[in-house]
Amino acid sequence: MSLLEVKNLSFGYSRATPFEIQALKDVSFNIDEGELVSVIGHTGSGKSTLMQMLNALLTPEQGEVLLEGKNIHESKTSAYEARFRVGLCFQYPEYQLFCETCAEDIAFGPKNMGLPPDEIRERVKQAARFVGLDEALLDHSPFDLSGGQKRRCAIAGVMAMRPKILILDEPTAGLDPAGRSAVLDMILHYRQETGATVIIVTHSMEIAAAVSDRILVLNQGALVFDSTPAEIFSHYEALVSMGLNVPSFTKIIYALQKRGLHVQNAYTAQAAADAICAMLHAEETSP
Amino acid sequence: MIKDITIGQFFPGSSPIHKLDPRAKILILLVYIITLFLVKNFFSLLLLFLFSFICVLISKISAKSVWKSIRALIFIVIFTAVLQIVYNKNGTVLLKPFPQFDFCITSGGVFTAVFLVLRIIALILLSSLLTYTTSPTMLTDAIERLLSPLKLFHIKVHSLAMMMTIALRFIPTLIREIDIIMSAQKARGAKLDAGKFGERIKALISVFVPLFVSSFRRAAELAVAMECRCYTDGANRSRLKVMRFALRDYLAFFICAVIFAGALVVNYVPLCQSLLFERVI
Ligand SMILES: Nc1ncnc2c1ncn2[C@@H]1O[C@H](COP(=O)(O)OP(=O)(O)OP(=O)(O)O)[C@@H](O)[C@H]1O
Ligand SMILES: [Mg+2]
Repeated sequence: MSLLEVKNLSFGYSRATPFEIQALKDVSFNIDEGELVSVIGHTGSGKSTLMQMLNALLTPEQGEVLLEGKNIHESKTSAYEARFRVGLCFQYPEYQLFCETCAEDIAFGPKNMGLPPDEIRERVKQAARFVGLDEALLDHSPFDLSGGQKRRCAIAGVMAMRPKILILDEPTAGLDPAGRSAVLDMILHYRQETGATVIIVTHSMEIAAAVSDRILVLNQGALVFDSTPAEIFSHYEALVSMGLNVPSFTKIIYALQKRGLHVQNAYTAQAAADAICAMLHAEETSP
Repeated sequence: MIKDITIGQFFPGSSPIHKLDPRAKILILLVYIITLFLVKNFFSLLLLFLFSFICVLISKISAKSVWKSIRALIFIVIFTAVLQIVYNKNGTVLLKPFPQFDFCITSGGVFTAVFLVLRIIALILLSSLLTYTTSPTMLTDAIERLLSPLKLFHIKVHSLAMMMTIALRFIPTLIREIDIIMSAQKARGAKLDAGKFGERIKALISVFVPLFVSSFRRAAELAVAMECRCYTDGANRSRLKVMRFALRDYLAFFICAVIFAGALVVNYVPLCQSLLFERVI
């Protein structure tokens, strides 16, 4: 049994109005314990909608979500509990900060879980460490922080609930390259320490290629691919036709292959370098 | 859900009603409302009711949306009807359910109840049709044009209209934003949709603080953006789309004038009423 099983989810917004949108169409997949899965897709392909279904913020019109074998949409209490077990960090989470100090804001989730004060303090400190937020900053107002620090504070607020599954909706959106890799490192570090399952929604193929065990590709509400990065990025043309892209290293390899060179597929910098070296080596040795 | 709010909602379309000059629609609606409150006669009311009903049909707005706007005020409609039936003692007694009490249902009461309900529904139908078939920007533009004589009294009509346009423009944005913030706080366990009353009020703080912060940020950004494009609040602004009455607007004025005049004639000329009564009864 997988940790999370998603079966035949369908959902539409603004039903029975002229603005009706079918946001998800018959989406099914499984997620195993400890996996890191990326979700990619064009703008409006339903990624955020799908994520809000995994922690029962939205109720599917059809299909079900099983967390450890139990349907989270079964009752109001199961839906409420699911929010703590599947932690969802929204797009631009820094716009959702509201407390007087960062510490209080990070403590908001654990408080709602009804944890004792000692435990809450302990979790706040740990979460701040995970995201690399200086302990001195914890007593500052979140509105005094820089953009990147706000983002960290907001992500810490979700981590502090210690969810079994951590979902991050575009955690690197609007950050500079340094901020992007810092946020990524912090997610990987968190995963290493806690062994949590992580789902990342992203527009960056490089990020998806670099960190994920598996990638889900959504197109107009339907799940079109569910596979390893290597497999996914070998569908260059299909991805481009969906308005997506492949990592730039894959593009280079693809261009080389088109010129008739026998290079292995690759999707990270290291793998691409290896593949090109291997090809050059093979050319040298062959008569 | 918060998304069900339909105030000022606009359904794009291409019906003749959509195409009418918004100024014509506003003027017609005004005269219609005045006529509706002047008439005391059942036949006149029926005529006006039919008029609004046909307008809805022409506009091709779905019955569901129309019902939504009526449903929003259904409480007032029922309340009015019950009040009339209970308290109106005119006409003959139709029913006296409890002999020991003074309470009775009279023909006058039932008649007035039906009359008032029809009047309110007729009112809602055409008023909601205005917002359903006119985009908010067109509407404020029209209001600005109609109010422009007030400039003589040094009232800044243009600023008022611009404020209205911006406010209307941001209603859907803010609703969307509230929705996202609420979802985000719910994801951290905020008890916004469940829990005790006190808890809910507390949880609302987690929605309002970010909402205010982002509204102010948005307002500041919008102000800068407008100034960057040299927006000035002056009399010399020209417009991209100049509203001109077309043939169809004059035609609409004419048809409506005939109908409203008809309703008033039936209402005020006793001869017509007796003639109509003889025919029908
Ligand atoms: N609250 C809502 N009301 C109505 N329609 C919505 C709402 N939220 C999303 N949609 C629509 O549903 C579709 C899927 O939206 P969703 O936000 O899930 O896409 P996404 O893949 O997350 O896009 P992005 O990459 O831009 O974040 C879009 O067409 C969007 O316009
Ligand atoms: Mg999204």
